[in-house]
Amino acid sequence: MARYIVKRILQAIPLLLVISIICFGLIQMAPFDVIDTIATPDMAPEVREALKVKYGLDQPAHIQYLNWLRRMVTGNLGYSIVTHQSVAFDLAARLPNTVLLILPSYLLALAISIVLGLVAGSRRGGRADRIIDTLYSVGMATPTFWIAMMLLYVFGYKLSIFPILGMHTLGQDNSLPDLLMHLVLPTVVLTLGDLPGTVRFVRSSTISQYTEDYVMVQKAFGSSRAAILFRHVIKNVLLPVITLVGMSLPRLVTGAFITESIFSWPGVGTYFITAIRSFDYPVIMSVMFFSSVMVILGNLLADICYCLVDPRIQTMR
Amino acid sequence: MKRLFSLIVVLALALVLPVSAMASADNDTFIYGIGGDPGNDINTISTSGRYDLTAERILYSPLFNYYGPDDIEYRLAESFEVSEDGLTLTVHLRQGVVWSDGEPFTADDVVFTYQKIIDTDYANGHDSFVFGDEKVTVEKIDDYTVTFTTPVFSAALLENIGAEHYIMAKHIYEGDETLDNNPKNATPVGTGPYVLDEYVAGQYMKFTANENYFLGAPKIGTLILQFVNDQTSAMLALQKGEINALVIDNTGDAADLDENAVTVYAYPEDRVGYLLFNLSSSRTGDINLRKAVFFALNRTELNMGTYLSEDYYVDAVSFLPYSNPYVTTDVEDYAYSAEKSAEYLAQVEGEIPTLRLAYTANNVTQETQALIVQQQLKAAGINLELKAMDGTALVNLWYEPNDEYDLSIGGYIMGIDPGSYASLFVSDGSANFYNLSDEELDGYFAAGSVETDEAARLEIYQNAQRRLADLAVQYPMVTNLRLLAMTNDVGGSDEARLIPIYTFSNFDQLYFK
Repeated sequence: MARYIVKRILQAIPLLLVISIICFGLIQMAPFDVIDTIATPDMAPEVREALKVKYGLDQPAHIQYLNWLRRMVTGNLGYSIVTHQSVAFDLAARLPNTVLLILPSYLLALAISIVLGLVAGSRRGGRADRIIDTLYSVGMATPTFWIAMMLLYVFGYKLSIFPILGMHTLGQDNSLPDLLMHLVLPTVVLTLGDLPGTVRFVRSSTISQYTEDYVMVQKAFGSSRAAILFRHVIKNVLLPVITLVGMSLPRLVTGAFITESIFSWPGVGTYFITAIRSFDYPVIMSVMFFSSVMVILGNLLADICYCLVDPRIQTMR
Repeated sequence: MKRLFSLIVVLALALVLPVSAMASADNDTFIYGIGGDPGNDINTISTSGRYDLTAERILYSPLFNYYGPDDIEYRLAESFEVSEDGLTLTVHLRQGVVWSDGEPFTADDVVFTYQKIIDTDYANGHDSFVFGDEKVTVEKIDDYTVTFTTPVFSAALLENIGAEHYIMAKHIYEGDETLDNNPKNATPVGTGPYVLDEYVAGQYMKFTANENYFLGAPKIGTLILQFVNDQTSAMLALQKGEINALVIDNTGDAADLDENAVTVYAYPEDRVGYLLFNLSSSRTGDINLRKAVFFALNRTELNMGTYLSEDYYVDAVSFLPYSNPYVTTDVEDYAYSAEKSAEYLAQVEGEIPTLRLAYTANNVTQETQALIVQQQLKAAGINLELKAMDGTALVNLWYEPNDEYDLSIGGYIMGIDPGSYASLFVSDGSANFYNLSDEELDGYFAAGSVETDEAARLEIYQNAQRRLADLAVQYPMVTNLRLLAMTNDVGGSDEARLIPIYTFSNFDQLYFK
């Protein structure tokens, strides 16, 4: 197993290089750069050029890339060209906030959707299935920003139960109840946003498991409905969910842009999008790099979990 | 089970009630919601964005705020005099000012700051101190007197010295290789009304009153710039009192605000919104076509349709905003006339081309303007295709001569001296997006920049406005007002003075009623 993990990690290195080259290349292909986004009409062309020289943007693309790579390898993420702020400092400040928002909402969505998906799938065509099916169809068609605005208006503004902006009430940075109050609405929005897709996934997986021969055999042996579901079907249903979880890992780094924006949550999502809009490449490349690492790591963890959960896969390797 | 449920409900309420009661801001903390994070690397020579300049103004002081020849707010300078030839400015500095670390402020700090701006080619405003190979020189006469000497006469010298330049402490930065990306910027030492207490990335900047501020300690003890990303939720937070002030982007939103909680202040930002003709396009060379387009536009309808209330805009007819001391309305204003439009259209040689209007996508104001312009031109028999583009992509398109668009929607906030507009209109101007080349207009800007007699300068720049209008390349639409919404418990907006870019000229004058 250890050899397998080391091999997968080594395989990831060239992959990361390729991803970084593609990403850097795409930024370079744009007909303008970060200096153009901060330039104003009264800025003399000489000043624009001087800024480009200062930030190395006058160099050919491959030199710029190698400079970035050299900094990255030595652990230096560089500085934002727009705010002059250290990218490492900014990410270190924002990453925990994003994790604090994304992780509980995702786990909550996962737990609820597994229950709902199993109930719907095991009672295919029944009343429970029809209700859940309707709810997730409506959920899928409802944009999260609309849900967020409605919740904010009702619970934040009209009823004044929850705060509207940010992560803390000013002056209460160390208050846990205050933090939890700020967390409620964005967490509900993200959970509702994640639910429909995962419910659908678990439901269809459950339905397909019910068509398998082993279920028919269990039925023939007279096993109860609950026994079939919880002792046999659930194991096979949850196996592909591992992949789903693994693929969601990058969100811990990239954040949830829409929800973070609406609630002014100080996470990576808003930071990343602001950087993309202004072509602030040291920020874009850093977030992209960590997000790629998380994709690879997520896949690797999913594979390892598969091996642990299903011994058949381990013997196949 | 029931007991467990009851317990959960009680615990939840115990958590909710005290916190929701605490949610509103206290009355010694003014929270201004701004649309971006200025970062915590504010250095007085490298800042140039709206939000970092705002934070800079809270932390640092300029020599003076220049709002026009007769409207100068003295800050670190007490007075100044200009030599007869207009080449030397002698500035007398305020005595007894101390930096927030207790060190005295002297002429050395002023010379150090301006020398850095002049020597650093990427410094904000650097180019206004350089004339070819010659540069403005700054000299210390004594501890409280400084002279600025310009190699050639510059009518905008006072404005250039005052605008966006804040004095930094020599004893802090002397000998440092770089001024931006400098760790010292995170703990700024200034002479402004407030000092930085805390910066939390992505959340807020918190300032506390500078008790040693030379104009007296600010009336509000704590000032916070809270970073808000979404205008709609920020408006809810404003009405609820979570924040005290917010700039309203879309005028339509201002009417939705609860007037019992919030007052909207409309003030000029000296921004001119206009429609421009791209003369490098193969379809726009005929002045008759351009005039037919301009006469087909109904400015009143266009502005009312866009801004919804006359309280929020003033019609523009010149390239200068209405508040500029050099502005004139004695120009061809292209007042709507279907007859004149038809007359000019009849004189266009060949077929009337379909024109392309480029504007910024996802900008509600520009989208509305584009649609109204399209309808008005259609009524005059001119077809207009709309081309929505990314903001930066559009600006870059302006810089290069091209055939991709014929008309575009733009807006600028320039300086007070009309000379600062030259880069937009002269043949070799760095921001001549019209691709305009007109000897007469070039002549006016060249003459105006070296004319020392005020009346003669006025005449020259009014001629420039008339000439530009006659060329029919820019259709000034509007000087729109910027809308600031503040909670009704905040007073002092007149004394704090609402100004372009920074919002407040004097943050120290705000108070809670």
